[in-house]
Amino acid sequence: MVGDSRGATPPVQRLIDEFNRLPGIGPKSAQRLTYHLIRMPVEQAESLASAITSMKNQIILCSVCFNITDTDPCDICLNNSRERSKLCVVEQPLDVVALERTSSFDGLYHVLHGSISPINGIGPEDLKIRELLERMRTESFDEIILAMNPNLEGEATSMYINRLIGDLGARITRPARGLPVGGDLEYADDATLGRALEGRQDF
Amino acid sequence: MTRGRNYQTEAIVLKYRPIGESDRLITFFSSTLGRITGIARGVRRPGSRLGGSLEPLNIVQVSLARGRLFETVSETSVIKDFDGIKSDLNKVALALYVAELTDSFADDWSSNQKLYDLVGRTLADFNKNEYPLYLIHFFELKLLKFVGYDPEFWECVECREKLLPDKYPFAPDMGGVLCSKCQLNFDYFPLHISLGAMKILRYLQRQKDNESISSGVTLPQLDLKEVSEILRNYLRFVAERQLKSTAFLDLVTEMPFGDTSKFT
Repeated sequence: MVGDSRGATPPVQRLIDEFNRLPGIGPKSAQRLTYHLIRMPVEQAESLASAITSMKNQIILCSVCFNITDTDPCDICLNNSRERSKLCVVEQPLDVVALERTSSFDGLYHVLHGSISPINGIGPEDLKIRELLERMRTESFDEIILAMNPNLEGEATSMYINRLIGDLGARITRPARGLPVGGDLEYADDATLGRALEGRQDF
Repeated sequence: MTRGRNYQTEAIVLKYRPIGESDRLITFFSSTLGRITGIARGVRRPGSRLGGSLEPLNIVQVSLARGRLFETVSETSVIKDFDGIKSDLNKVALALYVAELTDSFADDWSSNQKLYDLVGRTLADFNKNEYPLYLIHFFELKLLKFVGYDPEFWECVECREKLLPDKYPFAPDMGGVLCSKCQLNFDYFPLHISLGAMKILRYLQRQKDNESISSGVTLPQLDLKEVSEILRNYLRFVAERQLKSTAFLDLVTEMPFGDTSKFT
């Protein structure tokens, strides 16, 4: 039970508790959402409920790239107009969404579902790395882009994969590190600024 | 050392885990205050001022505000980021093992300057191009000493008789080796230390506490493997849990470049 909602009847309290488990929703927001739903027409509430259950029932992981999808293989893997010789390896399905939004990449993806985190006991066998090696054997790629998060665990994952596939013939690249658009130079940390200078380009 | 409402300290970032929407719970090992856990708010958003400086293994100057459950991280600046470690997979695995051991054995709110210096010096040694293979075992032994679990390799833990270098049974629960007479009083010893491993353990234990170990000595690979097993076993006993980072450490240190055999 959460929040200061002692007056709520059990069905209402149950919904408040459910909302409160969601990321970014505290006890107050959970209450607000619940009381909004109470005033909502029953059809709308049912539509929301069925949207949640059908989403959970219909989504699966693509058997090729392990992205979240409702068809197997997913739309990206089936799309023949995409460049099939480039493969971008990412940690999470949300990373695919972010990269697709840029419309700067039209190759294929591979989602690892996490990064190597020795301190938390997450090793390579817990990620879709074996599946990546299998893909490298059955499909032919000219370039593999290791687009892991630029932190210690992401870097460790990149280095580990690079060690495994470095000799398999494909060119292995990773996104540049640099200054964020709209950022302030003086607030950039040393590591980012250093990498940005190393990777400078002709004007 | 007592702390005010807002205070600064030099600390090594040991680990972090995500909490809430965009925050991280960060475990520091401070030179003056021991182990501290602090919340860094908003660090997972790009453009956060704290962001890059709170990576594990960094040595940072950190400003903290006293909190009820956890401290709040208000500002940080990097003193050392050990980029020599972070660009080498083997070194990352070793350094994370160092961080996990420190996290397991350091006490909250209790300064351990010797241990702090040891961790900083060990990371600096790994950061160099070349480091001796036995550096990690030197670290393990000195860490055990600084937290009060120095294992005994020189005399029998039961009768205190001085032992000549030889093969002896090692009892983690008794904190050291037993002589041939005393071992008859006990019926089961899973660990035996060979003469070669015993010499290495004694050699490493004898080295000065406050200096980097010299890299000029070559020690036999097979004996080092045994030393590693004995120390891991003892550390697991003292820590009362299986250390998590060892699986990855073993995986990468035994994996040659381009070897995909582990996955085929």
